[in-house]
Amino acid sequence: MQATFAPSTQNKTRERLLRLLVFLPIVYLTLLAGQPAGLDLVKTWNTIVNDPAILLQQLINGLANGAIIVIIALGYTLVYGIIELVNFANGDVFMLGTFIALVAISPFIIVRPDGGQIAPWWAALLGFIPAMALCALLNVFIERVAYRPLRNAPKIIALISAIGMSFILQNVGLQIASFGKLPQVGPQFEFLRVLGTNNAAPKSFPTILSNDNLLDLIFPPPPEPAAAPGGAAQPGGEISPDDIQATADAILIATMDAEATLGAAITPEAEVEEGTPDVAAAAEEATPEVIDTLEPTAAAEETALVATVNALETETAATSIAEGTPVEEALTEEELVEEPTPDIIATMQAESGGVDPIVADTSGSQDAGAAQGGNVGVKTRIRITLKDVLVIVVAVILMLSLSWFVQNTRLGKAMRATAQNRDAAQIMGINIDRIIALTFAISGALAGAAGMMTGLYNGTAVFTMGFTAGLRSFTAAVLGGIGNIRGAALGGIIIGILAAFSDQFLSVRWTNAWVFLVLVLVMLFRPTGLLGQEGGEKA
Amino acid sequence: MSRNLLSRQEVIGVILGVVLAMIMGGWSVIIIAVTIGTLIGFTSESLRADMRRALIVGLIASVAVALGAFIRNEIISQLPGQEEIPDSARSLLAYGGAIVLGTLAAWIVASIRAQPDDKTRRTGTLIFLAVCAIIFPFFNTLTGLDIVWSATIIVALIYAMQALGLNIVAGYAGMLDLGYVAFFAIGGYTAAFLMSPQLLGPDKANHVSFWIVLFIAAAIAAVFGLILGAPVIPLRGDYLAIVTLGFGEIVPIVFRNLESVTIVEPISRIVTAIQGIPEQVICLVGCNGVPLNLTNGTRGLNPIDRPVLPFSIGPEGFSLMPYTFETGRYIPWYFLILILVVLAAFFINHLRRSRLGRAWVGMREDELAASAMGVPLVRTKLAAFTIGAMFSGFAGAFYASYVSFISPDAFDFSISVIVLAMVILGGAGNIPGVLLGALLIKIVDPLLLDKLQVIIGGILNVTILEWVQVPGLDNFLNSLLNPTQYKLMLFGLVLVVMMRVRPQGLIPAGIERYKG
Repeated sequence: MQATFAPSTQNKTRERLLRLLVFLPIVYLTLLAGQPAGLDLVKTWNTIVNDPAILLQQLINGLANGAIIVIIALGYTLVYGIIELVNFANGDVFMLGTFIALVAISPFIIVRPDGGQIAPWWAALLGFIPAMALCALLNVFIERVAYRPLRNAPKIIALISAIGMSFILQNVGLQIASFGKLPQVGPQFEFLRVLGTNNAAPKSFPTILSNDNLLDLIFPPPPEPAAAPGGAAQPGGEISPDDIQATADAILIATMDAEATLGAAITPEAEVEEGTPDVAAAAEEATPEVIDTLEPTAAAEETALVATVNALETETAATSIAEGTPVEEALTEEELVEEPTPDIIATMQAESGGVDPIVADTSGSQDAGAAQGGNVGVKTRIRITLKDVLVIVVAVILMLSLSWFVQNTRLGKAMRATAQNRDAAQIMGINIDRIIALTFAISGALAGAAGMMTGLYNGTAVFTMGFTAGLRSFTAAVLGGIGNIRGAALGGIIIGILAAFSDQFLSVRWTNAWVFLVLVLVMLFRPTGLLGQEGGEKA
Repeated sequence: MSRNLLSRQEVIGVILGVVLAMIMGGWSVIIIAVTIGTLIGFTSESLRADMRRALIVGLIASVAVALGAFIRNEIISQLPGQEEIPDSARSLLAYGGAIVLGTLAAWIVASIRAQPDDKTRRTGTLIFLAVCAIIFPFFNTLTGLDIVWSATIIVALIYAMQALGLNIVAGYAGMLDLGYVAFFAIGGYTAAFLMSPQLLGPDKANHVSFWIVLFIAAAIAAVFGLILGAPVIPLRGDYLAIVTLGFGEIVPIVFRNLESVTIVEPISRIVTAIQGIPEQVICLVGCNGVPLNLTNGTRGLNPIDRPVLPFSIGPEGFSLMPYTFETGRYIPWYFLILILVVLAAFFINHLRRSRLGRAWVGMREDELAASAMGVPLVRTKLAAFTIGAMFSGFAGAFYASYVSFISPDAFDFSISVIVLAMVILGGAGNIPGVLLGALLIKIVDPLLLDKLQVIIGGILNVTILEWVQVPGLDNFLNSLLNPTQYKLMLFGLVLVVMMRVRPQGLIPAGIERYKG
């Protein structure tokens, strides 16, 4: 549609006008339709104006979460760069990495008198090693089994194989928690106790790094206002009902998410069909009043869930907001049954540090939200904790090392050559199989590192987190320009910040949708990504 | 080629049947025997012209299946915690019936296949299948197996309908759609909106009749197929898959979160906020402090109306009393979904042979060449998406009414993958393959795994746990070796293994057969 001759000024203005004409209705429609998704410019503006520190705080949270996304995105981008395959299983390797990290540090867990679990700081470093090593091996194995035989097949076939692999790994993640029952067998299995007794429930990491605000060291905090409930750990504000609702929301989201994936994947029809038609049939015969009170099994669980959340919010949300840690396992685990779906809800309430880390960032937004206290009018105090710093530092280190490796070593050069032109590289004497295996190993190691970082930062491991994390990371990789290391970094940061802002200013429940929307828009309008080089569409 | 040994397909078929019989037992032996006999008749090349051999192999298979059932009935039942098998089901009538009918099925199918004329073969096959399909639900209800088999087949047919639709998009047109569940959800929710108390009130007179809703839901799903298909037209391969995956995720999120909707006019919102009078904003939806509850979130919508027929057919015969479908009475549901699927299959087959169908296949094989030959790419792709989505809409509406309850948790990414697995397993691009894939997957999953779990539990109890008296070991083993917890792995393995071993599916589409 571009004119081949130099466009006259008339054409340019008309073109700009047309673009504006199309752009404005789209903006209006977005403002209209985005409202159920939490899009409310006025409210956002008010929030920011009242408390500008929130913006900064969410920036920091976004950066920290984004750092984790960057690491996983690097994995995606490396593999795509070298064999042009979207390694769906990468997210699930990350999830397994989290589990491995959890088990690796479990021998060093110390249980506090109040029931909380902590671990010494060097346990984190110890956790990185097995997570990275095992995930690297796992990734190499996956490549060998699922992708190498299909290297010359149409890309679709390899993609389908990748999806299958992702499902298999998710199931492994689910069943790995069965080993959490071994401690009952004998004391030599005590270290597996962290895996919990319900396969599908989220597992909590011990607190490894303190949540103290580093800024307190530089700028001593102002004296607490008299109305504050007190306590040194409090960020300095009352907890408003909105924050409690936010925590309740977050827990609700996590349980719904996990239950959703479980409910559909594990028992897709059984619960719904066998449970509800009888109820519905009974409902048909019942009087109108009875119909109102009659609820199908799933809905009854839902009310139980809401009730438990309400109960939770008063007791534990306060502590969790104050300390910024996942809710302690001081809550007793209810009777645990193997059927995942109905009782999952109960047990997830019990172990409800269980906020899917990628779904709802507890540490960050809760802190900011807690201190926001709109009604009380106390400003947010920006928190930068050791966790934030460490996560960002580790991510930067990993990224720089990877960059250095790819640019400055022989193997890195071989990787680049294979990515550019596989056949030519082979002719030049490069062992393609080994280089591809190396790429997968690096990608796996990165995923494992991300797993440990997630355990450190978000403190939860659940078998469904790989899917969400994978999709967000892939979005980040595409946004930055797939096949491009710097692009993955940029994309990860943007997605992390976007997710944090969405959690805070829009609505936690819709963040996933907004991220996917970004993915769709990028694919449509700029498939090469922001820093992209090669052609985004494949013939 | 040695004609005395069984061919590989025959062996696989027999083993499958025996394993199934060992797990199910009871009256299911007859169903299994007939199915295996039919499959043997269909797939065994060596039986094509030899009636006597068909008889023999069919007999062997049926006896093996009956033996398998015997093992289940007598031996496995001894294990603790097993499901009871009624005495009538372990009788000679059951075993004998299985052997006789199984052999008969193999012989009939083989003789049909031996017909020289293609048309006679097709008609014969269809008649045979039709007879089996019609007798099937009555047999189930008679033997009390309807909860097991009829219910399973009904669900399998719902998925089969979806698989037919996905087959258009992924099989014929070659576009890998990973978000197919979105249309299922849209069809289901449309039906729910029109047939449940949420929007139209509790009075059923205000609801729309199921028969109309079926088509409305399909139409709306088709419209969304158009909307969601339009942006992905320029994309290919991986990118298409990812974007459709994104859509497939967004739609259930939307449905999950529309439970308190308030929409105000945006400009007035900004203006009134600036002027400090926020209450005077122009409110459009969900005003006066009562947000609109559109989808009831995770709690879902229920009850959803059932279809109503203007006549009834009962033991007393035909009467003009209206009949409402109900839970637990599987026969009407079964025939309804069967008719829908058969009509869909015929329609799609017709489409495949039409100009549009050829355009799809041409586009799949080589887009550039197709475009050069005059195939309008955009229109063809949109048609694929739209029509494919339409069938998912049908399936969704039926599902909503069948279960009488709908919730966003039922529409998960795994459903898209399951349907994809069906299409791939059976053979993308051909209808019998896709139907076979759907039946296989949807029968194994609910039936086998549950019963296998009970059996394995029993075996464990009797063997290992007797020998190794370690506390807590039973908990661990029961958790680790629980087949129902391996559903994800099952689907994953199907995908990975099929891609390695037989990417064209169990029944390859016609073109692939020529490719070799």
